[in-house]
Amino acid sequence: MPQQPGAHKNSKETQEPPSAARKEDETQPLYDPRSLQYLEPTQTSLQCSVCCEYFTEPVSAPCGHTFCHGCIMQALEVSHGCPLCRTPIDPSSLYEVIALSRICDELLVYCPHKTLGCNHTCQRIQIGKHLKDDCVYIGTLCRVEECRKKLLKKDLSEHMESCPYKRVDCLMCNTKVMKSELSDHHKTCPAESVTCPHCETTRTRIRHLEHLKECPKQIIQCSLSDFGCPWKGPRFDLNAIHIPQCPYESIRGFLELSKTKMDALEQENQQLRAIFLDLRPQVQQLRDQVGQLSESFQLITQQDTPNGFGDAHGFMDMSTSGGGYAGAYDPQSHGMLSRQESYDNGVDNGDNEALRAAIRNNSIGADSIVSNLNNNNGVSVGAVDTHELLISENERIRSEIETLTAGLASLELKQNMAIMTESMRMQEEVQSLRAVCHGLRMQMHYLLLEQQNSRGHHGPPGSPVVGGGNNGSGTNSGGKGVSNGGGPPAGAPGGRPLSSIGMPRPRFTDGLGRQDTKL
Amino acid sequence: MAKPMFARRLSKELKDLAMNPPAGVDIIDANDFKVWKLGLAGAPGTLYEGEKFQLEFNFGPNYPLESPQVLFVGDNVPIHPHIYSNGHICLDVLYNHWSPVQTVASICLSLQSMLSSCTSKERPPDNANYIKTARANPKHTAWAFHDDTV
Ligand SMILES: [Zn+2]
Ligand SMILES: [Zn+2]
Ligand SMILES: [Zn+2]
Ligand SMILES: [Zn+2]
Ligand SMILES: [Zn+2]
Ligand SMILES: [Zn+2]
Ligand SMILES: [Zn+2]
Repeated sequence: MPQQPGAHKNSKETQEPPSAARKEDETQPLYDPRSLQYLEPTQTSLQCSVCCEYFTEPVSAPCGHTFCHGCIMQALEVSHGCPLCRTPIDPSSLYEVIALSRICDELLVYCPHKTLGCNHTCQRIQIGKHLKDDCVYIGTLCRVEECRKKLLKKDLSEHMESCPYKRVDCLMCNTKVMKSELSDHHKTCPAESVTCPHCETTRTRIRHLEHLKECPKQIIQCSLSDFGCPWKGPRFDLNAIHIPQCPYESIRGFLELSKTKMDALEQENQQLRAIFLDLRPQVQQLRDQVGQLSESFQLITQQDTPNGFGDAHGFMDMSTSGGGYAGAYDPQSHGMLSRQESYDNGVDNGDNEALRAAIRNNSIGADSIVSNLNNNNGVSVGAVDTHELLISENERIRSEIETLTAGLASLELKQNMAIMTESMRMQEEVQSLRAVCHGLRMQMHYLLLEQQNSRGHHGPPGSPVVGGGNNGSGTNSGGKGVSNGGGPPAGAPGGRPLSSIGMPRPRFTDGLGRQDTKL
Repeated sequence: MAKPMFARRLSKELKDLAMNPPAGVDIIDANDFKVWKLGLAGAPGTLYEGEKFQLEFNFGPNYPLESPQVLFVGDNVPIHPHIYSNGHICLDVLYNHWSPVQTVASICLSLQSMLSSCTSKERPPDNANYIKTARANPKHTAWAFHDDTV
């Protein structure tokens, strides 16, 4: 009776078909049925003509020819006829040959791992079971996830004994530990018993760590060792013997207070140091500026001196062109000039020196701060020393900053002074020039009067020139009078008494003062 | 998953060939399962008596589902109406009449009988033309097996 291949396959499930065996380990089929070795001598009548092996799951086609199920299915994919008689075959028309299948399944075969050493032989139908359950020459993997070593099943138990990745129970703490790490684990196992090296009592490691904090025989330092107490002894003696005697205990409050103070100071010092580091480039900048200022100041004073000369000469020219009297005043103006020169020099020298001194001071101050800081960084000092050092350091930094500020202030003061003396000198000069002008005017006036007096014998008596000088424009006319070289005076209306001759002096000075400021 | 291969069939065939070779067939070279060289002697009482020929078999990975590539090689290619001077053989079982039940031995027997049944030693009429255009692999030729009697 013809059978559908689907049904045929279902019926084979009980017979350990290779596909089922393959599911066990999909990477490696248990065996290839076409590679089995048979104990029987070859019987060609029981062999498939496609694979030339004993039939595996033999099926017959309607033409009567029989092949392995696998072989005929593969052959039909290539060509649609019976491989022997070329009659077309519909795959659904293939039917199982049960008797032949039994005969072939009962043939004795060698285990496929004969070459590895398995000498097992059995009926072919049993070989799947043998490979799955019994054969110890089958390849397998170490079951430990990290190991996964490839080995034969027969070697597995031996391997598991020594597999370095195998977990073993630590008998002390009951945790699973890799076998290779067991000896390391014993060094840290919290359940391992440990003998205290101080009091020689024994407990588990986890308790030992706690015990170490209170072991009465452990040698410890005085709790005030931070403040300098040199005492060392068993913990038991600390409270019982040492604390009542400890000289530091009595001033504990003070020590703790000073410690907090010191900490605060240290913090402050830290802040000051930061500020100082911040200020250092600024100081450098200021120093550069002062250098530039002093240079430009030198330049200005060098240019100033010839300028002063030129001005004075211009003035002298004017005065000589004004009249031959200038010569009489030359000595005075020369004296003035020389005085100005010396003034300039004096100011110049004095200022420059002061500046240089200030710069030197500054640079020395800054350097000393830097060196102090550097020294301080390098040296480690005791508690009290630190305290003192900190204070003195603060003091030094403060005084340095003060020196710097004072230097800057004095520099400013000196500059102000220089400007002030300069302006005072200018004022004095103006004053003296005013005096010269006044003298000239007085002389001219005197000359005019004399001229008038000498004319008085010829002209009308009540027309003195002084009257013109008394007018609002008298100063101008006076100037003209000088340049004209004593031209005829304008007729003054309304004569004035000569007695008023002493009066004009203050008015002249006033007028001249006003005009000079305009010049 | 690749289908189970016929890994053992060629080794079995080789063993059979060495143990019970068909008359006039001997193995010259079969060091792997890709290329074999076999000697074929002309059968006594035929036109080819006393001649020695060389056959080359090329097995593809799908053997025996697909036919091997078979041709005469060497100096002496039999002069036969179905054998071209380049060694190509016009024989249907080597091409579209191949069946997986064929073996190297059965091919040798077919060739023996083809030679034995020959009545006049001559090349195929289109030989000159064919060898100019033919590819190296005879399986690439579109064969027309019109003359089944020879
Ligand atoms: Zn088969
Ligand atoms: Zn058939
Ligand atoms: Zn076994
Ligand atoms: Zn392992
Ligand atoms: Zn442990
Ligand atoms: Zn202890
Ligand atoms: Zn103490």
